[in-house]
Amino acid sequence: MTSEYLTNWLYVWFFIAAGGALVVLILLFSKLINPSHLTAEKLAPYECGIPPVGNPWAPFAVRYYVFGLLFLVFDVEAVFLFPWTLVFRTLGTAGFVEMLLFIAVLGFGLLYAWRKGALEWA
Amino acid sequence: MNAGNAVVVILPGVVVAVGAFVVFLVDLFVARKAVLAWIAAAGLITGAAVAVGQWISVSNGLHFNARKPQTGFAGMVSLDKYALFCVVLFAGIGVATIMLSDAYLARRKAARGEFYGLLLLVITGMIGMVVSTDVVAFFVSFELMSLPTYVLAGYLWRDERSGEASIKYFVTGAFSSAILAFGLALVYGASGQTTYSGIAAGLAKLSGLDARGFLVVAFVLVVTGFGFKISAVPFHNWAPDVYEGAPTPVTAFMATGVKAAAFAGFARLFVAAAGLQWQTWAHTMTILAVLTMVVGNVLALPQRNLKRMLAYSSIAHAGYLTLGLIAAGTSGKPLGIAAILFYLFAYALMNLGAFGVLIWIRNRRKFAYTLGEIGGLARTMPWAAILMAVFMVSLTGIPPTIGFWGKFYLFTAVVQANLTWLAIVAVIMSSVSAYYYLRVVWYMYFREAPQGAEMEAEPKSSQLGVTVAVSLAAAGVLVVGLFPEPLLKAAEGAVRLIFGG
Repeated sequence: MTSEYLTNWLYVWFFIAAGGALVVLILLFSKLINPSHLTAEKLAPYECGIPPVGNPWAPFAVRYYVFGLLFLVFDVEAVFLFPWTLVFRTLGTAGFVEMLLFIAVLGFGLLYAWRKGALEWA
Repeated sequence: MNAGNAVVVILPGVVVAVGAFVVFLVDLFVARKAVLAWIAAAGLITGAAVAVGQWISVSNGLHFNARKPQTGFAGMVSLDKYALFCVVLFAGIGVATIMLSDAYLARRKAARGEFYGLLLLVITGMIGMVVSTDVVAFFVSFELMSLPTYVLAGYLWRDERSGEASIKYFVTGAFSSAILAFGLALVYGASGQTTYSGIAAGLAKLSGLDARGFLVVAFVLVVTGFGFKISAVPFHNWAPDVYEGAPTPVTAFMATGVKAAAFAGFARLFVAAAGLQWQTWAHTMTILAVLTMVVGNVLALPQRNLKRMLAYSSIAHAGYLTLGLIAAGTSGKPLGIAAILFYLFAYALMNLGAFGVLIWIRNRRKFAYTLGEIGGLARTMPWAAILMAVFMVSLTGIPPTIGFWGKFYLFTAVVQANLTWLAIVAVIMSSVSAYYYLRVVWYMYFREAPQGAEMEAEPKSSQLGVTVAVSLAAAGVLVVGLFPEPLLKAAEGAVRLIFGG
């Protein structure tokens, strides 16, 4: 069983090897034939964008992070809810109760965030 | 199998999880945080009471079949005495941690509700780990245990060391979780099953050299994940820093609770799923155990910081505990696992006690946990010094303490598995450990107190919780040390079923 198992994966190994080789080949080739005249303009991070201003290590509001987390919570809820609606009938009462519990726990998380002042922007 | 039965199987865990939510909820609306500790303790005690009730039911065959464990969620969880024994142990560790935390947090002005809520969530994960009979449920429980622990380690976030401990623990912990997941995925790949019994059946069908190589890789990865969690050498480097930086009650909990859950959970996984393949992982485990015992004990010798010393001592104890797994794997007999359960119980008592004494001192005066600072403790805090001496003697493994019986049963199991040389290494190493444990006693009784170690007046927040917890732990160390029989019988009863009896 195992030898079969390994040969089945041979294609994947070839694919990985070919992919790696392709990357190396392209980089090498462009390096060889490309004339290189570097100027300060060309060395800027975005050659045709807004010129970089200031230090990128500036502090930013940690609230973005809290909002990001809250968004993620409800994103995941939606991910679970959509497949659940499709099999709602076959799951029966137990499935319904379980989803209610799930939503209650998430709602509890929202209550927690609200009481802790995570929803306030100031 | 209907859903109601499945809930009965995981009922102790459900009770503790509900307790966690009640703590979070009450925290939102109550200004006096002292009540939260009581709610959390009540949740844990209720969970333990449910487990005791189920244990009696299983023993008497009231609602459960004593010969066949009750399973639920398509075989993902199982209710048996092994899980119930561990549930009671975890709940006890949790209650002790709450008693140790209360005054400590009040003194550090960090008495917030999240502490107890997160603690209960960790314990829910720990219960999940021992109830699981499926690698997916096991891994989810493992993560449920790990994630709140990272937060608890950084709970005193204004303290730089606490933050450092949290980040270090998180990075190494997340890394080891990933390695464990790879290992479990390979086990699934080899066997095509996720339940423990299915994996055992699937692995039994494998044969040939290819399969063996495959399994070696899988087991090495799983053992690596396990080694990180129990801080076995060479995966131990995070432990001293994290143990030193984390708030002391959290350190006590990590050293006892998290380690106990890792051992109990992985022991079940190793025995039930991979017991038949013992030959493929025997060498890895043996090297791990010997390295852990030697390095842990030797590196504990020069430590002048008591929290770091206890961290290295906990590494060394992880080495002794691993011997139980090796004994069970080699002999195929349950004595090794029963000895692990007994030792986990013993280790929890003596380690919670030792950390409890440190917290006790810390609550009374300036204390940076160095060895010099406990000089003359026998005169300034005589009761604390006596109890600390009991814990140190027990950690060394000198009778009539529980630590002696713990080591005795473990090493007996090892000798019965015809691995006498391993038992000899362990005995030599535990005599090395006498130096650094008994040095603490020497400092307390035969050294003068350092300058500026005057007691502050009794703090406003009551020390009652710490005093009671530490005294109870010492009583447990001595009483079980004198009468180890009932606890050993319980541990032996607990492991009978998971050995396919």
